[in-house]
Amino acid sequence: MKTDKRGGASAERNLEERLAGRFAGELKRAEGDYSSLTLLSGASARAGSSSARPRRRLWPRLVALPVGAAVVAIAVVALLPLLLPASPSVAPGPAASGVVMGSDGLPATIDGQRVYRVGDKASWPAGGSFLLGAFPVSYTPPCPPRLPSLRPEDLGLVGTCQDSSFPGIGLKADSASDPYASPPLIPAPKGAGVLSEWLGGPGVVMRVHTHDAAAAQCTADEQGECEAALVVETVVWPVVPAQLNGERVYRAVDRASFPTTGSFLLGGLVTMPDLIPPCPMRIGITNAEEQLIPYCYWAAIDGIQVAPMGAAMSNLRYHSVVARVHIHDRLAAQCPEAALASCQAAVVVESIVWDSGPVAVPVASPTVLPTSSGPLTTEGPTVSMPVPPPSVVLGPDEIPTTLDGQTVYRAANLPSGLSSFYLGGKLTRDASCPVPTAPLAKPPACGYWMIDGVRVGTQLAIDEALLNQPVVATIQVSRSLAICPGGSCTETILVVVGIDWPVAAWPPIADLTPPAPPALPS
Amino acid sequence: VRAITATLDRNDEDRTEARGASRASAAAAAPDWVVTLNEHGPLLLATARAIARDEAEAEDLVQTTFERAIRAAPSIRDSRAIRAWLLTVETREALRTVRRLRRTLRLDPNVHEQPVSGPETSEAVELDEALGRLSRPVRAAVVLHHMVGLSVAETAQALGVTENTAKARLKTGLARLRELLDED
Repeated sequence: MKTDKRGGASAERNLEERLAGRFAGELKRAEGDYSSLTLLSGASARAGSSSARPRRRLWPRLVALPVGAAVVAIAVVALLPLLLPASPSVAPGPAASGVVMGSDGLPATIDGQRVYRVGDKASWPAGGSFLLGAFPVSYTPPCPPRLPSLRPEDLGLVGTCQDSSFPGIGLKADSASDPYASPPLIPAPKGAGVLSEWLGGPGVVMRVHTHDAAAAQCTADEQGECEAALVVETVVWPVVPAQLNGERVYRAVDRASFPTTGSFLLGGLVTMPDLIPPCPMRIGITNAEEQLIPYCYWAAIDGIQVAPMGAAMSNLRYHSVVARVHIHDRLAAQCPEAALASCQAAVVVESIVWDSGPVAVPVASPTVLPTSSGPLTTEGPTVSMPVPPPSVVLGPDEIPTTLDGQTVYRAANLPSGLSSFYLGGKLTRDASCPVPTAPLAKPPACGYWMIDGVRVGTQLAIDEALLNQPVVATIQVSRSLAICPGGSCTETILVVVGIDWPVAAWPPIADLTPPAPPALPS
Repeated sequence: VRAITATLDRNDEDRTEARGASRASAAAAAPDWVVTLNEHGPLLLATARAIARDEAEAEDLVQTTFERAIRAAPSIRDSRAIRAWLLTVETREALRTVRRLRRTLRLDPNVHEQPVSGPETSEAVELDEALGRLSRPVRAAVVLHHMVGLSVAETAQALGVTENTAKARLKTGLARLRELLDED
């Protein structure tokens, strides 16, 4: 205990006791107040008098957040056509058939047209539309007060973060930079809505223009800024074909009309989230559920999570693809009654029939640059087993050293800088705590699988028969948010997104016949 | 001044609500999380009152802290750390609020809203007045360590400063309090 000339340790202790006692009284008062607490809006609290303040309760406001978000989303969808560019009038974008890729993963030219970059701003054409390649991200800049307010007619071109229409979108020149360290280019609110589905993911090529006709209506003060505003017209790359060899390519928005018999084509971007929390193991589910129902954060095409059973998708992340798929798989009949509808609705990927190649994203997965913009294959309704047996080279411990020509890493040589890789070794359990025996509401702190002694998160129900057996798994390096001193932070985790060896013996899809529809009551 | 303040508030609300909408919707389905927050509510309210010394701002601070917690709910894995984390969020928001308002307003530190119901004894009044004359960062350190009972390390984390800085603020705060109480 420190002392000083005015009182010494006892005086200091006495003061500390007074402070603690004072807080005990405050805490008691707060316990009484809290149950009936009403809270104030920030503006009224600071600007108004205490007697005149409108008061509102806390929880209704919090509950209203998701509801409000839904309302905002509906409003945005409804108003989106109004924000789309009306001028200048341009022809639809190129079909992206003649794509020459640049070194940054974005096309350098499309059909002979130069694809400008964010960094080329000085050389952008001053009139008419042009192609611009960039990485759209969610971005809200620092927001200093801007008074007086802009006129409403200005807002479509010069958004500020004080406007409700401000899109919160930035265009980065490269995939790796941090938008808050290196501010991105902010497009005009008008038209920026078309980028909403691309935020934080792949690079895109947009048809854009500056010197929008609406700039003439801006005030003199804002004239220059309005003319320089970058208006996005449409995304021209990557695109998904509307049909292949005359066969319709369905999209996620068509889900209600997916054919319930036979196979069909589904097109869209293959996505898997960057942020994947570890998932508890699924216990007590049937094999049919395991193979049909996507669990946790699974690969998706056009936003539709596909069934674990089916063609491997992990290496197609951020590819724009067309897949041959089916629903109402015969295996669904083996699902329990409660899960029957989910099993029947599961989208099973039979094969990938068109692939734009990887869209430029910071993914170091072993992929190839696009060499074809047309269909790779045009398979008919009858398809063979979706996953061909991998070519395997076994090491001295009978664990593959390569799989399909790609390195199988071990605990001793885990790669750095790869977001996805093969990990081989004996499959064991993290025995630092008991294995959960029932479904968990929250991710457990332990009890995960381990491969070659490396703790891995679990995305799928791993077959118990593989325990203590050598396996090769596709690992996705991910991050899990956690609480750290001073705020939230992240920890890197390895997540199993598939067991690639030994090969699972899926039933051959070609032999499966969807169940006959039930007879209508007479 | 009102217009600027209202604009700042609207910005904050728009931005935070847009960013947090998806997380908030995820968290809305977690009633146990709401229960957890409610358990810490009185502590947060008492702490906010002690730091802010303004009833309206204290309630705002609790509200903001809860909103942030609701949005962060899917990412929070260690429930044992939640108390210190909530206090950290609240304290930093309290300090941030002052910084934000100071950009547009010159606050008179001697003007405080009279609490609706406050200290019952003259001794408590005396202590409250002394606390009120500390600068907010120093007061926050004293409140968190000597009143709430956080360790020096936790206090430093909540303030976003090093432990040495926190210790210096605590020493300054206690010395100043003793001076003020002796004067009275």
